[in-house]
Amino acid sequence: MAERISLEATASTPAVTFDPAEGVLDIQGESYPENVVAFYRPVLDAVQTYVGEDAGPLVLRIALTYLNTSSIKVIMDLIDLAEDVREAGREARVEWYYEEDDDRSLELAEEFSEDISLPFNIIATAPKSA
Amino acid sequence: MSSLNLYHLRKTLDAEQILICFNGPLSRSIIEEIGEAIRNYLRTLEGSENRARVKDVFSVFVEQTQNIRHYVAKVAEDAETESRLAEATVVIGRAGDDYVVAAGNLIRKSDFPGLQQHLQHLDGLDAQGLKQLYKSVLRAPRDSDASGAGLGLIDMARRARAPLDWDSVTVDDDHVFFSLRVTV
Repeated sequence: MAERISLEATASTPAVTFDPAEGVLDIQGESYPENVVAFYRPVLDAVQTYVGEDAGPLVLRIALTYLNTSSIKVIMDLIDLAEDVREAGREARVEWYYEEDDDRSLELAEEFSEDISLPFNIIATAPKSA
Repeated sequence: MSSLNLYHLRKTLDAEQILICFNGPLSRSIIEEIGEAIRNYLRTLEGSENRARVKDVFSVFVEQTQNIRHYVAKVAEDAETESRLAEATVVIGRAGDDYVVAAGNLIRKSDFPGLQQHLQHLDGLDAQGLKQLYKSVLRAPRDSDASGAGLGLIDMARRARAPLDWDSVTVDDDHVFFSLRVTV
């Protein structure tokens, strides 16, 4: 059984929730921990277990205002997992939320969406921080 | 520092248009705190319409300093070497309309040629070439869990408004002081 994840945000790590009952991984905030793999390992493990054991959908709901390059690589790993889910004939998609004046976040989302076949929805939100 | 004249130091900092300067052992929390200070300061300076600029300066600062931390974690074999190598000098300043994020640290002399070769390679790539390299490294397996993704320098080169500028100064038989200036 995949583990339920619920992590509070810190200065350099995002709030993360994963609910295996719905297949939704929600990541919000900033992501630039020094040891990215240590931070995301339990998250990747839970999603991987869910993908292997469950037949439900996988939704990646990402609202990150800043990612260091190591975090970008982890997001790529998650997107690859979601692609596998989709190729297995299950529902999978990415919802990428960015604040509408944040051009860099939009560019990053567009680059992620370039080489994949997964539905990738890029959604503008009202800016929270100036 | 018995002979240090703060006024002269201040004049130098002003003349070089230095906004923030740090010299000492880099830690995870120092990176977070300076990073936050930079963002707050630049948001005030740049206003809300220039969010990409603020983000580029912050990103280059994070990649530069985390590269140093990852380097120390990778090569330091004992606590003494670790504390020596973790000493870094980080400066953020203005250069005309641009910002410069410069960071310097001690590296092993034997590591410099490889680093220089990598930087020269990046220097020879255009925006499209950098994007392709970035994507191929993004998809490559990680070297080890503890290190970074190997994307930092490529990301800096992509954000930079001028070629990456680096130099090295010999410090002792085994070490050079390496510094990298990134204009954004």
